[in-house]
Amino acid sequence: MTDLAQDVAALAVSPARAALRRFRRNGLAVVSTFLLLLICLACFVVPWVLPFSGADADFANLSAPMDLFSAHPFGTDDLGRDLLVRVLEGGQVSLMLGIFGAVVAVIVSVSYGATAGYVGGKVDMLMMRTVDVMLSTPFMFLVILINVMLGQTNASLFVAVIIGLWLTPAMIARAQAVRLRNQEFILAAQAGGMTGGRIIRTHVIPNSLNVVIVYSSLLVLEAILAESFLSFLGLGVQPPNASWGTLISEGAQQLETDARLLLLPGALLTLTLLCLNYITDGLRDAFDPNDR
Amino acid sequence: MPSTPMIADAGGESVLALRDFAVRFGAGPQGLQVVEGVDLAIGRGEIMGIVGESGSGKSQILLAIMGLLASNGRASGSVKLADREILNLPNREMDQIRGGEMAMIFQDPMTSLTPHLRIGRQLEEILAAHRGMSRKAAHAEAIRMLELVQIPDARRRIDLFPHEFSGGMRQRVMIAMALLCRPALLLADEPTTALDVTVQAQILKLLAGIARDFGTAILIVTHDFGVVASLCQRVTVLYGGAVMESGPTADIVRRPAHPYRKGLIAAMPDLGHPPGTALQAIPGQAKPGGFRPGCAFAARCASCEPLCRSDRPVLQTAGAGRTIACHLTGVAHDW
Amino acid sequence: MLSLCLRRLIQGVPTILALAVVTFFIMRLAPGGPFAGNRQLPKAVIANMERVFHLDEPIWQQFLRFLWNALQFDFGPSMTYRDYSVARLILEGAGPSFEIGLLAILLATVIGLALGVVSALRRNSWIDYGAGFICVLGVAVPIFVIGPVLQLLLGLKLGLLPVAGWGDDWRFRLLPVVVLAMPNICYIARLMRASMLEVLRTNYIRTARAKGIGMRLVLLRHALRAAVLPVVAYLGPATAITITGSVVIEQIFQLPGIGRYFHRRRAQPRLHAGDGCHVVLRHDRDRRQHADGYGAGHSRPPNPP
Repeated sequence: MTDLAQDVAALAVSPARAALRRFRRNGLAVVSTFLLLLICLACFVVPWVLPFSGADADFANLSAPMDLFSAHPFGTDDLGRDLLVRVLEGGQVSLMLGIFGAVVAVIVSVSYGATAGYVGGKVDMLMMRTVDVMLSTPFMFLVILINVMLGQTNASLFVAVIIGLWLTPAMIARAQAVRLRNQEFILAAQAGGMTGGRIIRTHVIPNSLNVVIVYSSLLVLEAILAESFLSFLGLGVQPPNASWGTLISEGAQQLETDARLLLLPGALLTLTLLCLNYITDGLRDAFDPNDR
Repeated sequence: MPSTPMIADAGGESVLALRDFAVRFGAGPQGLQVVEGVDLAIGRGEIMGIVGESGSGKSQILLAIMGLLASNGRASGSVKLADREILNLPNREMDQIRGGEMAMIFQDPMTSLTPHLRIGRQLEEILAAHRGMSRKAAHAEAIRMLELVQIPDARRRIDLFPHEFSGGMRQRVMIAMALLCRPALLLADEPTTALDVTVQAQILKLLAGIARDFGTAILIVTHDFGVVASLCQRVTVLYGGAVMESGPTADIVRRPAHPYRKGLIAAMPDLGHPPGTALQAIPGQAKPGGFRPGCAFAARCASCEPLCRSDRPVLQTAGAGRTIACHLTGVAHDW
Repeated sequence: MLSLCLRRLIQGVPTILALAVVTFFIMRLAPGGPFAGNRQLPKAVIANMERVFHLDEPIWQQFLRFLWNALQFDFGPSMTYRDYSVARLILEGAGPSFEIGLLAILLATVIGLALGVVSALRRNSWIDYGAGFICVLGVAVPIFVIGPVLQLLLGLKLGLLPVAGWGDDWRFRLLPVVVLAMPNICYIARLMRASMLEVLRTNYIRTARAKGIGMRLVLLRHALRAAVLPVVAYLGPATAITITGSVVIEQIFQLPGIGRYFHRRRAQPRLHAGDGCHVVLRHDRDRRQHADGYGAGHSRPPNPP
C-alpha cells in the first residue's frame, strides 16, 4: 500500500465513535456522568421505595437531627417532613424541568437557527434581529411577562426557561448553517432538486450535531440553574410542589435555626451542576478538540 | 551521534557557527526529533540558503537560534554568534541579542505585525530598547530606515497601521525593523514565499544590498531553489531534518551530487523538453520527523542500496568547500 | 469615535421603544386590573378612579401618555405603596442597586482579567489549575447557594461580616458585591485565559519577541490590548447577568434596592413600578452595551480591514 493509503486505513473510524472514545478517556467527565446518573436514580427511585413522602409530617420527630441509622437519615424539618425525601422529590422536579426544558430548547433553537442560516437574506436578518432584541432584554422581564400572560403555573415556568435558553444556541446553529450553506455537497443537493426543507433536515442539521450535542449538555445545566433561580425568587414552582430552588429559598430564610435546610438541597444542586459542567467540558473536548 | 566537524570552509571568522545542532520536541520516546546533526557556518556579508521541503525542519533551526522555540522544544549542540555561545541562554540575555546583534524576519508579513500599533511605534520601541534612544531621535531614525528599504513617502507612512500597507510593503517594514540596530546576522524565514513574483525580486535585491552595504550575514531559509540560485552564495540542502549536502551555490546547482538534489533539479520543468514529456517527480512524500536508522532519503531514492537503509551517511568533503552525505559518492555511477 | 458611540445609542432607541410598547400592552391586556383587589368597590368609585388614571381613554392615547410621562421620568403613583410615586421608589432604590451592581462589575473585570492573564502565562501550573477549579465552582454553584452559605459561614458562625442589611459601613457591601461578582469573575477569567493563549500564539507576538524588547513590553503593549477585546465585548452580557443576579442578591441580603419590587410584584398582575424598573434597567443595560462598543472601537484600529 502507498503511504497515503496506509494512513487512511488507520483512520477508518467514524467521527462519532472517535469522539466517544475521546470522551471516555476523560476521567473527570466519565466520573461526572456516573455521578449524575446516580443522582437521577436516587431522585426518582428512592422516594418511591421509602414508606413516606416529602409531604408526610412525622409529628413525633419534629426537627430531628441527622442520624444515618434512624428512620430519617437526614433528619426532619420543623414540620416533621423527612428532609431526604423532600430534597429528592425536589430533585425530580428540577431534573425533569431541566432535561425536558433543554431538549425542547435545543429542538426549537436548532430548527430556528438552521433555517435562518440556510435561507439567508432578509428572512435571516429578521429572525436574527428578533433574537438580538430578546437577548438584550433582561431575563427577569421576560419571565414576568410570561407569568402575567400565562399565570403562575409550572407550564409558564417551562416556557420561561425555554425562552431564556434557546437564544444563544439558535445563533450558534445559524452560524453553522451559514458555514455549511456554501459547501459543495449542499450545492449538489440543490442541483439534484432537493427542497430547502429537506436539505435542512437531512444535511444541515446532522452536520451541526457536533455543536448541538455540546450545547445540549450546557443547556441542561442552564435550564436547571434557571429553574432553581426562578423558584428561589418565588417566580417558579409554587407550593405545595417543591424543587431545589424553593427548598433553598426556604432554607436561606431559616439559616439561623436550621442550616441543614439550606445545605442539603444546596449541596445536591451544586453537585448536579458541577457534574454537568464537567460533562459539558468533556463533550466539548471530545467533539471539538480544536477548541482547547 | 556526533559527526566529525566537517564545516564547509567559510573563509575568515564566522558570524554564526552551528555545530552538531539538533532540535527535538517533547521528551522521551514520544518526542519528535526535527533536526539533527547540523553543521553550519556563515561569514561576514555572506548569504547562505537552507533549502528543503516542507517538514524538513528548516524553520525550526532559525527559531531555535533565536531562542523562540515552542515551550516543548529543546535545542542541543552548539550555536556560536561571533564566538559567543548563545544556545539556551536565559531569556533576559537573549532579549539583548535579539533585535540587536541578530535579527529575524518572518514568512507571513500579513500577520507578523501587531495590528493595533502604528508602524512608527513598532520601529521606535526597538531603538528605545537596544540603543536607548529618545522618542524623537528614534522617530527620525525610523523614518530614515523606512526610506532605506524604499518605502515611499516614509514621513507620512510611519504613522499608519499595518493593515494600511500592502504585503510587499509590510515585508519591507519587517526588514526595516530588523536592520534598525545594524545586526551582524539576519535570519530570514521564507521571506518571499507569501509575495508576488515581482515583489519577490525586489525584496531579494534589497536583501542582497544589505549584505553588501552593511556586511550583514544572512541565513535564508526557503523551499524555492530559484531564490537560492539568485541570492545565495552558499547553500545547505536539508532533507528530513538532516543535512544532505552543502557547498557553493553554483556548484550544487550545476553539479548536484546527491540523489535528492539530482531529483529536485530533474523535477523542474524544462522548456527545452518537448511538450507532453512527463514530469519526473520524486516518488513518495516527505514525512516530518521520526528518525529511522539509515539515510533520511532512503525511502524515496532511486539509487538506494541496502547500506543506505541501515547506516546514516555522514557528511564528507567532496571537492572544494563542498560536503555531501551519501554512501554512494565516489562510486562510479552516472551522475 | 464619538460618531460610533452616537450611532450605537441611536440604534438602541427602537429596541427600547419596542420594549416599552410590549410592556405597556401586556400590562393593559393582562387579566385583572389595579382595582381587582379584595374589596368590591362601588361602580361610581371605579369610574372615578378610571378617569383619574386616564384608563377610560382609548388605548393608543394611554400609550402616548405613558411614553410622554416616561420621558419625564414620571411613572405614576405606585399601586402597592400608597403615597409613593413609582419614580420616587425607583430613585430611592436605585442608589444601593447601582452601587452594588457597579462594584460587582468592576470587581469582576479586575479580578477576572488578572486571573485570566496569570493562568495563561503560567499555563498548566498549580495556579492555573487552582484558578480553573475555583472558576468551575463560581460558574456551577448558583449565587443563591453561595450567598447563604457565605452568610452562614462568615456572618453567623464567624461573625466577621453582617449577615444582611444596609448602611454606610463598607462591610455591608463586601459580601453582596463579591457574591454578585462571582459568576462574572469566572467567565471573564476563562475568557481572558483563552484569549491570551490565542494571542500569545500569533505571528505578531513572535515578531515582538524576536525584537528583544523584553517580555514585559511584549505582554503589556502587544498582547494585552489584543487579548482584552473579547472581554470588553462580554461586558454587555456581564451587565445583564449582574442585573438579573442583583434581584436575588438584594433579597438574600435584604438590600433596599430596586430588586425587591420584582419579588413583591407577583402579588398583583398589574403594577406601574415594574414598568418603570424595566425601562430604567433596560436603558442602563443599553448604555453598557454601547460602552463596550465604544471600548471595542477604541482598542481596534480605526478602519478595520
